[in-house]
Amino acid sequence: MTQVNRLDGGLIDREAPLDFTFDGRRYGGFAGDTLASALLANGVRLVGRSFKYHRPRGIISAGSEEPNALVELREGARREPNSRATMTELHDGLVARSQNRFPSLGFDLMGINDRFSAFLGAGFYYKTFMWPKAFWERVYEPLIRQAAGLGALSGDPDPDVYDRGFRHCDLLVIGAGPAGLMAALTAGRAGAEVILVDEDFCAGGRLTMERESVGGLSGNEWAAQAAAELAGLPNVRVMPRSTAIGIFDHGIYSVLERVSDHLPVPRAGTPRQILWRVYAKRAILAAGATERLIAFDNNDRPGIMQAGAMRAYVNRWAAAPAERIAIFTNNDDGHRTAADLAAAGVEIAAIIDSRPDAPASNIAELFAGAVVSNSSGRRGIGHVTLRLADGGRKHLSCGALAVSGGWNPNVHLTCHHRGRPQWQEDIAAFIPGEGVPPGLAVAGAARGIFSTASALADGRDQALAQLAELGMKVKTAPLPEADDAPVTITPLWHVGGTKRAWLDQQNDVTVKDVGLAHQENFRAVEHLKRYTTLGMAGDQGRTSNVLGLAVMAELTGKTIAETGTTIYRPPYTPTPIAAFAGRSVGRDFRPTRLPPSHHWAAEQGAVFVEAGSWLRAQWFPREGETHWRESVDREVLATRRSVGVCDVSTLGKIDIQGSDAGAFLDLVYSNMFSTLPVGKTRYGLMLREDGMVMDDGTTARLGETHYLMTTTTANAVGVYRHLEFVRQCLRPDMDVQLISATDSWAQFAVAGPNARRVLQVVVDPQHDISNEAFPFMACGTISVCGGVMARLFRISFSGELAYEIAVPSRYGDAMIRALMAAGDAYDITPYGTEALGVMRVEKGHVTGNELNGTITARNLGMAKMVSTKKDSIGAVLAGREALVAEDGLCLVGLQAIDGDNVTAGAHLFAEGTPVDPAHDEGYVTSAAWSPHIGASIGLGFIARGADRHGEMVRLMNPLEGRSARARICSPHFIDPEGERLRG
Amino acid sequence: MASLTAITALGGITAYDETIGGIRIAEIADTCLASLAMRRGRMADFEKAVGKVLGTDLPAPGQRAGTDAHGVIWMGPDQFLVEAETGATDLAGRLAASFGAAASITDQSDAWVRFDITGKDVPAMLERLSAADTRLMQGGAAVRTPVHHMLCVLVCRDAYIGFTIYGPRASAQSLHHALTTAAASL
Repeated sequence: MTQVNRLDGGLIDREAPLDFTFDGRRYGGFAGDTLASALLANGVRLVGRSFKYHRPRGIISAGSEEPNALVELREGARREPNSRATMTELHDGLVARSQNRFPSLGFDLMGINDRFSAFLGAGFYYKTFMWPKAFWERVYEPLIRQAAGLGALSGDPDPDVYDRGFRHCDLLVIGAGPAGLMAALTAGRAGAEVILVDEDFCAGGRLTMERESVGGLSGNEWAAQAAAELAGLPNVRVMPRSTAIGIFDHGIYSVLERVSDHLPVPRAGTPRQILWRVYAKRAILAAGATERLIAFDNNDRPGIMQAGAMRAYVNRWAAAPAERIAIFTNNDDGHRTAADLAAAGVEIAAIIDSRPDAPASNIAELFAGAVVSNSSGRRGIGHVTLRLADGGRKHLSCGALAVSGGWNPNVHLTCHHRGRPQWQEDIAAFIPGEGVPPGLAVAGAARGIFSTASALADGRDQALAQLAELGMKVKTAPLPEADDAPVTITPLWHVGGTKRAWLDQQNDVTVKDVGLAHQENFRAVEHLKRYTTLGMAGDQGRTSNVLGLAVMAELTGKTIAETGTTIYRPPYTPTPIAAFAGRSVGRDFRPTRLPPSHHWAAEQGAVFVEAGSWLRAQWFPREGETHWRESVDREVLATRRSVGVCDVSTLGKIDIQGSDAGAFLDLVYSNMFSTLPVGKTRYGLMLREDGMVMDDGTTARLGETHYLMTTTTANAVGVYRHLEFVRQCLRPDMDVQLISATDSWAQFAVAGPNARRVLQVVVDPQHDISNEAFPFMACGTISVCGGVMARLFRISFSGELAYEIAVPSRYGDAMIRALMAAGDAYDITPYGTEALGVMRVEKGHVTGNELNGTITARNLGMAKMVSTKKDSIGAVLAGREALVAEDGLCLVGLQAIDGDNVTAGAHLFAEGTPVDPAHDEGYVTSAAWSPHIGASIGLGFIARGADRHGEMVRLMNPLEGRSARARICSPHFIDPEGERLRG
Repeated sequence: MASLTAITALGGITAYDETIGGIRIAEIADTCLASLAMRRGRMADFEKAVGKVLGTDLPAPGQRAGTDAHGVIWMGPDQFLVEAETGATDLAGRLAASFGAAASITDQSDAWVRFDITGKDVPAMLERLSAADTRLMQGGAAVRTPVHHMLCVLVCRDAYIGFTIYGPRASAQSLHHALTTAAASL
């Protein structure tokens, strides 16, 4: 477990050694390490196999842009594939595995793909697998699916929880490098509400990775001091391990905080990650820059890294990838890497600077005007081949190669509103251009200002400008002294060769692939991207896009600026779906509404069903009942024989008041309500503007200016919204006020011949509820059980003598118990939604099944309910020619014969006609077993139905391969004259 | 027949009260509530009655006005929620008598569940639940805010440390679950 490549120094805690495993082997590291730095320190160069060709790959970067070092972390249900080793904080016992290899990382059978690369170039899947056609779904696709992808999920449910959250601030600072820290300090000291987010677990950005001084301290010390000052300000919140992944409208930013990823297991109760929605009045993007590679043949060999990343590993993590390292650069920054590596004791094999005018080096042998043209070595780099300025070739041995192709500002977030970056010639890179989201400023390296001194100044100045826009007056603070060396660059994108030179290492896209796209005329950048998949991997091409554009620009003869960029989209870095779901998973997917008698029903052993967000009792099984039908049949028969009780609190209740309440109801209902006497209830039909039925229900008139509307359970919210729309938008002149009363009342249907007798036990004696005093459709305020205020409605959904009694919700539990006690002498039965449904089908009452959005009042046989004496919503369009045709659909009852079953959804055909759409005459909407009739019955719509009672029809259900015969009848299977409910 | 026994929105005879970490979550079961909506064109009468009966001016949007005994929470244009503390009875009836035809009054005492949330970490808990900027809410601020798809009313009693949340009564258990989960996840 010796860490062969561990150097002295660095920002790791050598007092805190950690153990971890990679592919089953144990290694050691220290607190402060990432998995990547610890692997390098242990001399592990090969960490994965590439996506398509299964090429051996190593660590390239030291940040979230890492395209290669993707590993599986943790075990069991916590196994997470495609985790970037560069972003994984080491903890004791961490288990990591390489992926996309079989049987082992060192020997991967799928490496055969690399031999067949000629057949697997860009767009190969558009050209191959074409024949035979039948093979696509059964052979090719399964094969490709098995071969594609990197790591695999465990398949077990994720045991961790994820959360959502909301934060607000005056200034959001994205990135805690020199520019971000200075911006946060400026705004924080001025008293502004500041949120500072950074992907890293400590503040400082590149300051933690460089050998330089800031304000007389080391860069790292200055950053730590600044972070400590910020942490002490009550108006500043510093969020480490947090990535801003997207910018949305109106200053809304998505920030993913990895709360527990650095722990073996999250602390009890705490989430693994939180997806924050940050509302920021202003924001500063100080996301820094990403170093480019230079493409050359076999430039993907393990050990070939970004020069800046290699410098970071040496300076911050005291880990060198090898003892002898070569540097390949086209700019001055490569020389800085050489200096830092040499200072740490690493042997520099050579500096290969593609610029003929490269500055002299006193660190190592310099090859000016030379390029690296190839690499060799098994499972990692061993040699590089140089093409010298004079055309000669030279082989050089080295254990690693640091490549610096220049730095790309991290402009990605500025493009989330379709902003277009613009090309800046002197740094050979894109900087934020037009279309940066409103309220967002960019500071430091993210806009191409690279030196530490100028980044500090820019951070401060951008913060001052943002605060000034918010009307805050802030004094300009002095800046710490820092490095201000300019960096010059002469662009070099790729070195011409005969082999494959990699651009996008995560998606295995080469220079040749871009050439092929050009040859096949996929030349626009968005076409290039889709044809080659360049930039479509999880890293969104952060290390590859500009290289690809440059190659395409060369081929088309355009400039890079003319070639343009593709659009970057959220999320900036890969984000687990679980973080978007947050707490809304499993049973917590949405809230549950419980009716007031829920606890009582649970005690009775009720079976519950979800009805929208309500949990309703579906039936109440009794001992000995083995099938739901037994329970439901019993509930129906007992109710019709004596009395039953059902919690109907879920029906929507809307309290409507105002001097124009009656006129308002006349407008929203097709029938008349202004004439309804106080103390009466009326059935109402509500149409949509297009004349179709929207909802139905009863509305009671409680006072001169006071109505209470009932809606179906399913449409409660929709009807309330519709009424508010009518009130606020269509008729703001009306004096009418609405409020939901659904949750306020516990309401029970008491139905059956003995309903009145049961109620007379609970209703206080001063209230006469005899048939004469309280006839069908009466309503009124009464009291029950010795003075509890209640409302009584004499309405019936079951067709029996029935009431609905409502008490304030707090008494609902006691009320159901009181009703059950009062009904004991009459063998009262609680019934659930199934029995409710059976009884309403038997009675021919329509519900959501029938009111399916295509049904008119006329279809329901209720054409006369659309009053012509007044205007009402939908009345005009209900009169459309096609809707009033004589042969339109008509609600009918259906009774199966010969022991067949009526099934909802079946279509209706006359006897002897072909079963095709031309002969389709209607359909079944509801079906039930009627214990009363002793047959399977249903409701449905059929053309000219009212004139066809007695006729036989066939019910065809080709989807389920079922058919049945049934007789058309009146939809009122029981008591068509309505004598029971008036009794 | 014996009178009926009331239960709280969470289903208990006594109200739920628990402290999780530094946060106390208490169900308040005896607050009387009534919605108070101005009748069209009755502004003068309405405002006068609010002053006389409730002893306060009308609250601005996003505010609660009034005293400890009677609070008036802005709920929408010309629409308010009146809260009366413990012991008040038939609030809606009393208001209706006082406001006459100037307002439409509806009892809302059983429409909501009320939780009072107190402690030094309350904003850290609420930021997991609500988009409201609870860190900067002052006593008397009141907003309607969704919490896990439930439309709630959040009232700040004491800046940073004392809040009331009203949620739909039928969803009391879901809201309670959301609150206790958030409190335990800090």
